[in-house]
Amino acid sequence: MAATAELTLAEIRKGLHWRKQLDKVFVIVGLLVLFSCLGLLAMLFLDLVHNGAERFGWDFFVNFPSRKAERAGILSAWVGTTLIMFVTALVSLPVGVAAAIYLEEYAAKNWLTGIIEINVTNLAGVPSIVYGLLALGLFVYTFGFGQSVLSAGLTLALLILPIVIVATRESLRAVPKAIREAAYGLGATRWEVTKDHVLPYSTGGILTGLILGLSRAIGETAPLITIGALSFIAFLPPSPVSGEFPFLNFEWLKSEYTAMPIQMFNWVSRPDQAFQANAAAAGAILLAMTLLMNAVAIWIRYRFRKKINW
Amino acid sequence: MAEVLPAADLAHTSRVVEQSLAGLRLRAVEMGGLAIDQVACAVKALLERDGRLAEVVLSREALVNDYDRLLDRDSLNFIALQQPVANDLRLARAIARIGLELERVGDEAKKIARFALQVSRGGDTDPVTAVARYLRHMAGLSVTMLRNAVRAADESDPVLARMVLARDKELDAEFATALRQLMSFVMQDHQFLKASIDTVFALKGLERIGDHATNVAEQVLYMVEGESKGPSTGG
Amino acid sequence: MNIVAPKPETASVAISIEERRPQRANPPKATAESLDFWYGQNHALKHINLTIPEQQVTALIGPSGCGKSTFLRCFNRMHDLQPDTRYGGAIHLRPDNVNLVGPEVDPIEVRMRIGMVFQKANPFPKSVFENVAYGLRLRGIRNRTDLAERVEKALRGAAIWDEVKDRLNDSALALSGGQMQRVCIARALATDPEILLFDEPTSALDPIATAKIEELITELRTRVTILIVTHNMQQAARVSDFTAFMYLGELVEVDVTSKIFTNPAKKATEDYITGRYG
Repeated sequence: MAATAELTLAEIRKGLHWRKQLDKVFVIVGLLVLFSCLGLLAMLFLDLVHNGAERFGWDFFVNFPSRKAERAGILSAWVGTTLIMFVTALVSLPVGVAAAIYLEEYAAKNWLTGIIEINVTNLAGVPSIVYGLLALGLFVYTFGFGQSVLSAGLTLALLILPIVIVATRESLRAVPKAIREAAYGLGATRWEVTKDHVLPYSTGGILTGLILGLSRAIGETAPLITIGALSFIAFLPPSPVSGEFPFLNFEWLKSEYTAMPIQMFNWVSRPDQAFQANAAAAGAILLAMTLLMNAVAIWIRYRFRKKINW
Repeated sequence: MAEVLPAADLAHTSRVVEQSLAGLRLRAVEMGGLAIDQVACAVKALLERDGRLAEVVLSREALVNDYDRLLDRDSLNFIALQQPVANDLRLARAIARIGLELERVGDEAKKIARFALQVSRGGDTDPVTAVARYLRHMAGLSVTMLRNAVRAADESDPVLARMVLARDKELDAEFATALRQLMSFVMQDHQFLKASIDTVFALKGLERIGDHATNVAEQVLYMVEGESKGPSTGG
Repeated sequence: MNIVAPKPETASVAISIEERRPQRANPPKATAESLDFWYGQNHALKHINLTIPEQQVTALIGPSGCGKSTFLRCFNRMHDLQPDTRYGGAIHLRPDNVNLVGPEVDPIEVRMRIGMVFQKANPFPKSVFENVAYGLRLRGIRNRTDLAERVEKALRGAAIWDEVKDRLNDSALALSGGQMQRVCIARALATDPEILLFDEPTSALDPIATAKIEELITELRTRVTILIVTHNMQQAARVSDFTAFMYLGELVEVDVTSKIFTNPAKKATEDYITGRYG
């Protein structure tokens, strides 16, 4: 006869008490950490806003940079950022989605595909300055795009490509196998399954991934510096729309430019203390733009999730 | 509180089940009609010494057996394939048992028909004549009981089934009286012993047919109300 | 007292009341001849010989892993979507005798002739109309009137027209489980398949929805040949004309359903259906 101790109710209760205490401890620790981080972020934001308070105003947005701190604005910077983001999105989206579709739907599960997949995820960890160097050699010199919006857009597109690919793959995977089977069962080809079902139902995830990628790219400074973003330009790239035939041109792609992070960097490095306020203001605006893009991404995901309920 | 729904209310989702159940009932009713006819014809053949009619009854005996076999197989298949429960299951079981009872009715009719054939070919008829009235009356009574029992099965009518049960006593009384009459006939006249014995068997056969009708009625009550009653042993 | 006049001699016994359960097989629609199948090294189907009679319901039963779903999916080449699969033998489809699993035969073409309904209802997250119309669009039917007509015919054929006719443009995902499955059946029916495959179609449904779909399958029989896999033997008993019992990748026995469930020829079959398997 074994001398096993049977747990009495009192013992269970005692053990339970301690286990629940531990549970609470973890909750408290988690909350502490969370609020610390959020608090830090909030403090940073408020600090920037406070420091840059005197610069906020319509003028700040529509003025070019100037040697006088009070008159320096971010016009060329935010226009530059916007145009670059536009190019980045336009390039990274099709390339990233196509690559993801290939890897997910078409590639055979062999060693070659494995290598490609590993490399894609590795790319996400490559330091952004390396992208800058690559871009310098490839886009700026070899292809001859020069120090232009085009080069910047392509560089950042490369940078966020892994993000887009991974996000797209996750969305593609989220489409249940049952849906694909149903489509194949009706006699669809692989492309028809992808085009009619997998892609449309993944749109939410893909867009979310793209916007998250863009919100990362918007703040990248190192690559842009490397490929020659100017830090003081008092002109805007030419408008894509003009009054004469052919009404649409691509001159703006070849133009020199600056971007928000560059401008901030430039101002912060100035010895004149007055420019600190400009830098802070620009920083607050940049942070706001990033948060706004994230919010849009969340909203898109929410809207698409409502429509499609697996 | 149990709700009593009217008889033909909701149909099964499965048409096959509806058709199968209807088919079982229909087959049982057809077999009942055949059995009733066999009894009536056999007694008529006996009373009128009609050899040809007796042969008709004997030739149809195989048909009765075929009906029983079919009913048995179909109710078995219904149970195996449709997994009925509750009233459907009871119906399938009851119909199979009713088929068995009707087959036995057919057997009794066959025996009476054999006697009738013998009589028609020159056998002694005096015992038969002595109790002809009772034969006729018992035949009428047992046929009525059978007809009502089969109708009760077709319509799932417990009231009608109970009426059948009630009349069994009447039949038993009639049998007792007929037997007394026959006994006094035999005591008066010893020479028709064999025919007299056969006549006793004929009377007994009719009494048993009444018992089978009662059993059918009991199966109907089982089908409708669910209480299992064993087959009644003859009185 | 009147005794009933004798009836005229009746000839032979009337035919069985189980008229819907023919004892005879119709001419074959498809025949599996020595069909083999491998998942990688795993020999999943072993020399299966089975005839599927046209416009009747054939059910496949057997324990998990016996290969019944594997066998079913050979008919519409769904295995081709997985890597490292191999067929042996043939499945000949009448009338043109094409070998469904032949390497020279395009799986997409096979899937356009053979329809499938899956275990869990998998309607597309589109409207009811678009769900049913998808197969038709794949076949190049674009005319809106044509589509509407054929979609209605399919939904009627699946016994769900009345329930969805006012909701054709609503999402198919808003329907109940049983309704979704019937829409999936309509979707498969819309393209007039020559054989309709059912892969455990009601295992995810409640009894009432199941009963409706079983009733539907019984009715569809007259229009299309049906092959159904079910792990619910009682369903096979209720619904099918012929039942095939499979075990460990082999076909053990196939016969008229009523015979299988009252008196099967093989002990292995009887052990399985009576619940005596280990």
